Amino acid sequence: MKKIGKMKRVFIILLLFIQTALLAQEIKFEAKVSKSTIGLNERLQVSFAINQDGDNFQAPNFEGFRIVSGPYQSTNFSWVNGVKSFSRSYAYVLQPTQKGTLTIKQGIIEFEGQTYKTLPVKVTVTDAVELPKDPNDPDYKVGEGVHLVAEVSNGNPYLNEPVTVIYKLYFNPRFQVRNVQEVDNPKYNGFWSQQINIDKLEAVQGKYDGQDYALVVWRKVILYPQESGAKPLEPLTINLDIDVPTGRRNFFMEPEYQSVTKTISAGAKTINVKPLPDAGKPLSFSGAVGKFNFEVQPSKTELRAGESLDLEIKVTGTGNLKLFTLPKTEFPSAFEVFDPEHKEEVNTPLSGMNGTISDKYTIIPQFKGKYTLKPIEFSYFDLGSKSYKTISSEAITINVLDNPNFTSSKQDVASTDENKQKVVKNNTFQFIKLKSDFVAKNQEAFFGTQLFYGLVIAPFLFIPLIVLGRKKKEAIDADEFGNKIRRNNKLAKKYLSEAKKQLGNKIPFYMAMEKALHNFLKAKLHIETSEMSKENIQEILENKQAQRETIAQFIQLMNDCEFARYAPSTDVAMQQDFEKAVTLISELEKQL
Amino acid sequence: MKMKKIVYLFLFISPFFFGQNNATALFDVANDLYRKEKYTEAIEKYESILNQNQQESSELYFNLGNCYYKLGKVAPSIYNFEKALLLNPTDEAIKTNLSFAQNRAIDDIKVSPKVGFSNFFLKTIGVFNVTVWAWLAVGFSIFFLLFFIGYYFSATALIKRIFFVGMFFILAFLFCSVLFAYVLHRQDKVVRPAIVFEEVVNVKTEPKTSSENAFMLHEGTKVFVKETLENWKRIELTDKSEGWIKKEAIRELKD
Repeated sequence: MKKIGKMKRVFIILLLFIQTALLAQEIKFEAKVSKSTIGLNERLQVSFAINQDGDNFQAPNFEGFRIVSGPYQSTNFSWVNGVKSFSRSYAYVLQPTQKGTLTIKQGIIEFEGQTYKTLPVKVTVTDAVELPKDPNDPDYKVGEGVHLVAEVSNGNPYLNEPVTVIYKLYFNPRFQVRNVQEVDNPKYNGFWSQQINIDKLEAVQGKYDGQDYALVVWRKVILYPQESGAKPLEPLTINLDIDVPTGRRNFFMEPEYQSVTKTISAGAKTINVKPLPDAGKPLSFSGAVGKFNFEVQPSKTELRAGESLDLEIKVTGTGNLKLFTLPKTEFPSAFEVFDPEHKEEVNTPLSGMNGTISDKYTIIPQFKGKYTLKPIEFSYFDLGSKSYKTISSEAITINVLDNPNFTSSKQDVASTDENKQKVVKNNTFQFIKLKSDFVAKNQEAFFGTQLFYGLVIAPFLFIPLIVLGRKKKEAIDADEFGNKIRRNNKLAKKYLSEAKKQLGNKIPFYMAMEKALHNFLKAKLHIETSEMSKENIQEILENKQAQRETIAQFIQLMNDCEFARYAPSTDVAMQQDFEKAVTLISELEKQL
Repeated sequence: MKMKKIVYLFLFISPFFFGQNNATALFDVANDLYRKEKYTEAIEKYESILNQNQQESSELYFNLGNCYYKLGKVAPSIYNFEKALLLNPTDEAIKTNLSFAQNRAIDDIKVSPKVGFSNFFLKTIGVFNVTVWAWLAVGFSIFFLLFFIGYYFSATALIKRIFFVGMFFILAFLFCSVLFAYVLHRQDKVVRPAIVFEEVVNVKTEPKTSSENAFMLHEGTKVFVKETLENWKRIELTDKSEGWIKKEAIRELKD
């Protein structure tokens, strides 16, 4: 570290001790920087100055900086026209090691037992800037011999299409490079990045601008763009010490080298990320880009309720395997499903990720039955054909058998004890029913119809009818006289019809006829059998103003009936008598 | 069951009587197809009884549900089992197969238990359906008349007394059956169950497509329709969560 460069070095020491008395003076202790904004590859001079003869200076620890050289101490003392001035400064040359706003902390100095501090100074460090080229500058000479190059495989990729960035360091083979450090490690905003480890840095022969150079592959990074649009890459900045041959040889005839520290950066590029096409984007697309195989595999398809099976959903291939989600599926409610176990077996060579990712679901069917798992779809964007591809798994049928020893945890807590018997009894899917009685569809509800109300109310309407009917019957029963007439009338009719039946049968015929006539008289004349003499009858009939002729005929008929029982009689006579009786009865009926 | 047969007997005294034999023949053919595992053809036959003969029965819906279950169609099988259960709420075979079908459905919605007297009451009177209760009321009404006659015309005081007390009991029964029929009838109108037929459907918080999703339902889930607004239906789940669903996504069990 002998390099002093442009630094002006001043050593002026004046010692004048003519007068011992010093005028009391205000004490000033300040920190000054040469620039408040610098690039990462630039240097900065900071000096702490005091206007008195301070002592025991303590520099701050310059966090974020590397001390290139210093401290340089200088003291200035003058005596002009009786006015004494004094100043002492401590200077450092600093190189920033990180970007951002850095603070140079307080420097401390003592004077006459008092401690003085400078104010902290803020310095803004920006990205590396291009240094003005000055062919006479020794740094420039070195710079011509050292180059850092970033090679980007694809400046216009699709979203999630892998991009590789290779940082190569070229240097003049006559140089010796030592102590290489990354100053600024780029953050790849908007990208998923993975650095590929390089086991051993090896210099090989390469060409830069047509000239032979030594080449070291410094770093390999693989990037998967996660956002579309123009995405700037931050540069990689490295710091290295280079031994440049001076062309002279030392005492032992070995070439003499001069050491130079240099900061170089590369890779400030912009990558234009294309979004995936919207046309034909399947619903099941979840961001997979590359080339894949998709498989859904159950560990078994027949088991007993309460036993477990595994369902593995697996994607194998090349592409952004770590960057998309596997398709999810839904299970019947009779399945108890645990959260899937996610497994990734992915290698990341420079060509991009490849390997397998899988989700393994553990399933415990709770109830007997045949269940179908719907086909699962997986879609990806195929970079080869620049189109979407969809792979659909087969539907899986799982046959769950009965397990009498297993009681599902899904059952209602409240109903478990009463269900104990039931579970055993009704554990099978029931066969169809073979007999049925059909009714018309959309049958109008019976309830609420007029028929319903009618049928409910009708019996109540019968009650007053029954009561009335009985009342009437009782009234009729109570009327004894009327009843007798009715009864005799009825009997008269009854015997008359019997007589008709007995036509031709002499004795029963005339007996019936006689009874019919007697009963007729009883009903009409209100007399008893004991009063039934012919004179009496005639008298009563006359009193009732029946026609004499009819009365005579009636009496005649009664006599005939009496005699005919004991005398021979013909069928014709019987017929005549019957007709006569009918006419007479109806005539008397009218007259009375 | 006995009561049910009586009801059917009454209902047969209707112009539909002649179609009975035809339906039974179709039913037997379909049952044969089912036994030969020709489920699709069996479904066709069963459905022709429904659509052409315009006849139905609990057993018909049950068999249809079985066919759909065997074909792995979740929503139609649950729908038909539920329909069968509506016509015959106490049948164990229907309940068993319904639970088999429900196990295949994806949604597992908790049934928030209904407690309290009203639920117990509804459950108890649900033993018979409205029509049965209505006919029971008619029967009690006729019994009441008979008891009145017995009371009115019986000679001895003891018999008279028995009939008199019996009359009041029967009157009470009559009122109960009319009341139960009325309650169930109203319940029928208010409770409108439906089955989700669409494979996956989003239930919205408001009746419009742009509205926020309340939750997601899968086919075979039973919901209860509360309101209808144009193409939307407000539904409630058994766990009491609510939302609006597109009309086409569900099919109601009652027309």
